[in-house]
Amino acid sequence: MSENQKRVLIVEDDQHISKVYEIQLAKEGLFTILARDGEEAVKMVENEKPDLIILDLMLPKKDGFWVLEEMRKNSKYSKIPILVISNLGQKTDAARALELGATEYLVKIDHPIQELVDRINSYFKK
Amino acid sequence: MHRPLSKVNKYLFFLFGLTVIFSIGIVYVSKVSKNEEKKIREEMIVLTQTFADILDSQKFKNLQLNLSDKENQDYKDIREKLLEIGRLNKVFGIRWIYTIVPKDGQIVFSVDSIPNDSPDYSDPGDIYTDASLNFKEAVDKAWTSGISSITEPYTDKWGNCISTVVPVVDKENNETVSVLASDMDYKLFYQNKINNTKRLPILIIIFSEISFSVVFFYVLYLLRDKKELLEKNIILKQYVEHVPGIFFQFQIFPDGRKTVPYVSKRIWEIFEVTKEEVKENASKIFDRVYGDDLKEFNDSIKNSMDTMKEWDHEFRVNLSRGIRWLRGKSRPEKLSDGSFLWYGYVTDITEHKEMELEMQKKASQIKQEITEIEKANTKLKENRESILSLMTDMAKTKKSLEVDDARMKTIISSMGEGLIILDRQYKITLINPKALELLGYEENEILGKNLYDVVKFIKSKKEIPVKGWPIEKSFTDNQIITTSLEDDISIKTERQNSPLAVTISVAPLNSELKSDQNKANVVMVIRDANKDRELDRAKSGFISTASHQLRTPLTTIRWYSEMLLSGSYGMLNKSQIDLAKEIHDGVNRLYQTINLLLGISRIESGKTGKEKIPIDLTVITTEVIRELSPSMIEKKLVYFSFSAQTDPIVVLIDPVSLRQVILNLFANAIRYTNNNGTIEGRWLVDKENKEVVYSVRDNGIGIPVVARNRIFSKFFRAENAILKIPDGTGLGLAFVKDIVTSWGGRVWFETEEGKGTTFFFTIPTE
Repeated sequence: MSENQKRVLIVEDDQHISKVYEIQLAKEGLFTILARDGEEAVKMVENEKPDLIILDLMLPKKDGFWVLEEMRKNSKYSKIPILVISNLGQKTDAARALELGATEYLVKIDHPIQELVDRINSYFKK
Repeated sequence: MHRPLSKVNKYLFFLFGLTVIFSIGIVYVSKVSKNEEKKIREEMIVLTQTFADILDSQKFKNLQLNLSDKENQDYKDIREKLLEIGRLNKVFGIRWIYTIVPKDGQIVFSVDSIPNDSPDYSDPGDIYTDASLNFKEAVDKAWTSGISSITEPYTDKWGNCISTVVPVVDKENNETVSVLASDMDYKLFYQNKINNTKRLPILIIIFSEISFSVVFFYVLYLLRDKKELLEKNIILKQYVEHVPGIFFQFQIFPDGRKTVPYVSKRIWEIFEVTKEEVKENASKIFDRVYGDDLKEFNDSIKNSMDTMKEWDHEFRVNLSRGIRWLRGKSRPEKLSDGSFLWYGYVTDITEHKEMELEMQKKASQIKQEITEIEKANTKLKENRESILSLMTDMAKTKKSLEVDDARMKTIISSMGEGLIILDRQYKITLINPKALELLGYEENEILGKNLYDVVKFIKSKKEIPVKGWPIEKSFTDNQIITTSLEDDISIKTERQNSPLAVTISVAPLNSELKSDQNKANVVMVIRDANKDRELDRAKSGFISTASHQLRTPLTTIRWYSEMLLSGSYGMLNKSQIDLAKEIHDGVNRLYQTINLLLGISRIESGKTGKEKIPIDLTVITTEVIRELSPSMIEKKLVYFSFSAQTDPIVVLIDPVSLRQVILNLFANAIRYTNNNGTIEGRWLVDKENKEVVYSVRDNGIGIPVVARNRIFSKFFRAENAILKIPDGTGLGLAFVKDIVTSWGGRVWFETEEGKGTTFFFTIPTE
């Protein structure tokens, strides 16, 4: 891992999905860390200091909304972009997540994987 | 018009008159008496001068003016003469007559006519010691200048006197030889001589004063009399003019001529004729009498004439303001020329007459009513028995009703929803246990109270005024009103800790008594909305879970197939690529099906379609057509669009829902139309129905008759459609119908198998 390598925390309980992220993001030269549930995700934010977080909403133990709330409690995390990438397609869910501090809300099934990778990359090219 | 003298004025005038007359009198008297006095004085002087002339002046020359004279014959002659004159002059009231001479500033007696033995006698040469100055002057004047005069009254030892003093002149050499004085009692002089002259003028004054007083008071009396008469006359005239009706004189002459010599002013009101019109000929009055009453009217006059009894008659007259009732009364008098003259009055009694008729009518009505009441009374008695038997029947019916009532009460009591029955005044007439539980009251606390004293309705945290309650709407519109969860209505009572979310249904009772609003009742059913909310949340949760659970594996397949096709993980050969594409396409179809399913369930649970923004139909249609253009190009389809107006048609609606509808209809049209076909979109504003009608027309396969009534059902596909496109979902039109219905629109179609189909849907504009 080089000094400049950007760190992406993937919070995703589905291993098939998380594997796609890992493969695709590694191909783009990003360093990925994986958390399987909300609690683990919050700990990892503290320990691993990611540059970007990909957050699923339906998670075991504590869900993605809880993670957003926890993140919001601590102002030092306020600069980390959080991309909520979930399969919850209802407007209310999106509105709630954005209100809780999500940078962007994307529905997995609506997007080809390359589109998502491009979105993530766009945060580092700024 | 007389201006009556005020009392004060009158008496002032009277006193003034008296004073003027008195003053004139006084002036006159004083003038007369002065003249008279002057005249008497002159007479006295003339008289005394005559006496002096009688005396022989020569004899005075020999007098010595001492006692020796007494013996002198001349003295004696003079004295004799004086005595004679004195006697004569008693008639004139002369007391003494004597001669005197002024000597050394004093008056000296010369000859005195008083007898020697009288104490008043003065000897010749005696000095008149207490002579008044006035007297002295008179004597000096006579002695030195020969001027006669009368003195002012004076008093001396001889009493109160007035003296006439004249010179005794020797006519030969015109020399004054002595002075003759005649004394008169001045009282006598004034009383007899002067005052006599005053008496007549004073009498005249008194007479004038008395005459003036008498004339004055008589004039006053006359004036007052005349005034009273005038006033009486005016009052009488006013009476005559203001009495409702008229006073008249009516005269019939032996030749049958009828006249009205006098009639008071108001005759126009009574007969609508003028005084002048009937003065010489009364026939116009007879013309006014109502036809049916004329004979009787004439008879009544004739009767009065024959019997000389009072004419008293009621009759009608036909006037421009309608028929009026009049009453006349008058006394006849036979005159010397053989004519008859009536004095009397006529007055309008229409109101009295009408009242009288009304009273008569009422009396007969009351009579009739009494008869009817009596009849009814008899009938009542007859009916009493049958009523008694009816009551027995009713008691039985009541019992069976009570059984029904009890049954109904049991049902109401055991209902899972709160039920309240209210009358028009919102009084609670019935409430079931569930409703009591929801409101938090006991039945005896709340029954009979007004609902709005107990419950507040709250919508979105704001209290709804009673007029806005669904109950009020049900009362006024006589409709069943139902609220849904989305209405967000809660109820609040004092017994609850927090407002309770509810849905309510209100239905009017006694709907056949629509007209009598006060008797209207409503039944209100209250449901605890929290349970519904939970269910709703569960449903919503299910949708989320389902979408997540279905989408996640689908996502995996989709992404892995994409990764394979991308070639980043090793190049595939052509058949491998085809296979991977099949996987990818299958995933896409499944993705659309799931989205449609989720869309339907979202619409059915009211989760979408709430965000309304203005949408230009031309713009949204163009977008959809652009999205679908690849497949249209592929099938070489021709597209037309028609808007009935040049101005853009803008609707206020949820854009996502509208897009779904238009997209689905065009996608169907494209799918079921053969190559080179035509697709047409149209939209127009239907102002009458306040909606926009949107249609999508194709010249495709059409819908077979058997399939037409199921075309909007979920998962239904017509056979010809399955033949043409085997892998459709059968959800597109169901989705369209759900969305259009959710915004209150309608959807229908026109079709002919083999020729084409047009789908229509509407968007309400209000």
